[in-house]
Amino acid sequence: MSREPAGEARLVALLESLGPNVSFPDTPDLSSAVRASISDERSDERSARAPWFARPGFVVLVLGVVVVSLIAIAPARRAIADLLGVVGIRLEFLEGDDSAVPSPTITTSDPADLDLGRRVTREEARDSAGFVLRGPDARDEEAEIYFDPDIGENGMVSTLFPTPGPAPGYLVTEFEASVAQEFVKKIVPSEDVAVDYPTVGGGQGYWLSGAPHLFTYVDASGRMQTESIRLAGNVLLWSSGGITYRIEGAATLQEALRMAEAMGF
Amino acid sequence: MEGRPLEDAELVELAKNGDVTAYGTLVRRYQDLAFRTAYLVAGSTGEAEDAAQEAFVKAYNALDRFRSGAPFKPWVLAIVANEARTRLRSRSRRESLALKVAEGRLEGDAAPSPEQAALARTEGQRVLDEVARLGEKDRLVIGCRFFLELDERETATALGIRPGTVKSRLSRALARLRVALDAEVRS
Repeated sequence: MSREPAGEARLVALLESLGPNVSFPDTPDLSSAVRASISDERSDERSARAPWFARPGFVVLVLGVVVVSLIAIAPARRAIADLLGVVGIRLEFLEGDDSAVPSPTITTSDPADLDLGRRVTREEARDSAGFVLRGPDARDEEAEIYFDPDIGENGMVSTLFPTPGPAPGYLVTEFEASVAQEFVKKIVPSEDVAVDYPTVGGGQGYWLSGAPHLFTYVDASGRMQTESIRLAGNVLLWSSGGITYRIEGAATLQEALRMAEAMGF
Repeated sequence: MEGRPLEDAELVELAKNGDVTAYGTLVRRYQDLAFRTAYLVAGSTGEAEDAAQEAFVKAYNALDRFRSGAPFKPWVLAIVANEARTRLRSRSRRESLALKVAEGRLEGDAAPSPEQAALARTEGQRVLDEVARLGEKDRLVIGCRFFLELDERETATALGIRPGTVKSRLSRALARLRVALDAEVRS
């Protein structure tokens, strides 16, 4: 049996000499196809409408004053950060866990990748969810609504707002977490994840920005599930009246807070 | 008449302002790396081409979220790897990845004898065959560091892991590769 360091060093040397000599299949020309796709989309962009929460005439009910108090926490590793006030969510910072982390930043164009459940109409969502929906009720035909009965006490409703091009834009989810079921959000610590603690709707909110993260929860049958959220990695989380809300895809905290405000928080 | 080639950061700024030609230059600059990254993940040239192409389009659309001055190369490779992985999930079986030792003398060899050259080539091919059989995480970290010549930081970005994790992941991948190589010799 070879000694570890010598064996590894030799393999490294071999790989280093191999490296420049690996023959990959020929690269096809991608630039023309890419340019063609981009040019098609740019003409669509010009006819896009403003995001639902910024449209003039959208009625904003402001319940109470939203005071933003930001306590920037350095993205240091901690054992557990218990979040009081957000029902059913616990933030856990993992120590040196390098299990597969979704790649940063990019959105996925296929809603099926987001595992949101089945596509439903607004009416079906209202009937299926066992709680009152506060999510955006925009007269927005382009918004897609999904329902997943396995998450939360009475299912989870997700509203996906597309933007021009393949990126989905914004995702608003709401579900009723029970105290018995704990939804654990596991954050892989990295230089790129920051946690802020803004006030939303008069209560404690959480703003996670930077790299995306894994979202682990206990479903209705008690099974631990893990989903990787592959949107831009920014999430505003808060709860109100026993319902937990999540807005993903906002580029800044201010933008996310405006969206929450437009929802009535 | 053209001046010096533009830096990535300059091209990104132009592209952010809608200069599609500038973006085309970026695509041509990195399409080899992008295609090879996708190929390492997906093991199929068709999927790799689709994934790399789609990734460049997505990257263009995400430019407004891209931090100016950040390195473009590993960022776009992360998108490529993701895209290739997404496509992989929707197929039931990964086609076999084929990595070959290039024809001609291995670079870095100081005039070996013909037997040495032949042995080196055979051993090299054996190593590549085993790398191709490794699990995705191991294969990718080895691929990034040795075949795509990304440094540790770039590898971290491309794979969506912390820089500190690259070393340990590489070490584990190399250990598993050695076990596979030893097993193959014994069998």
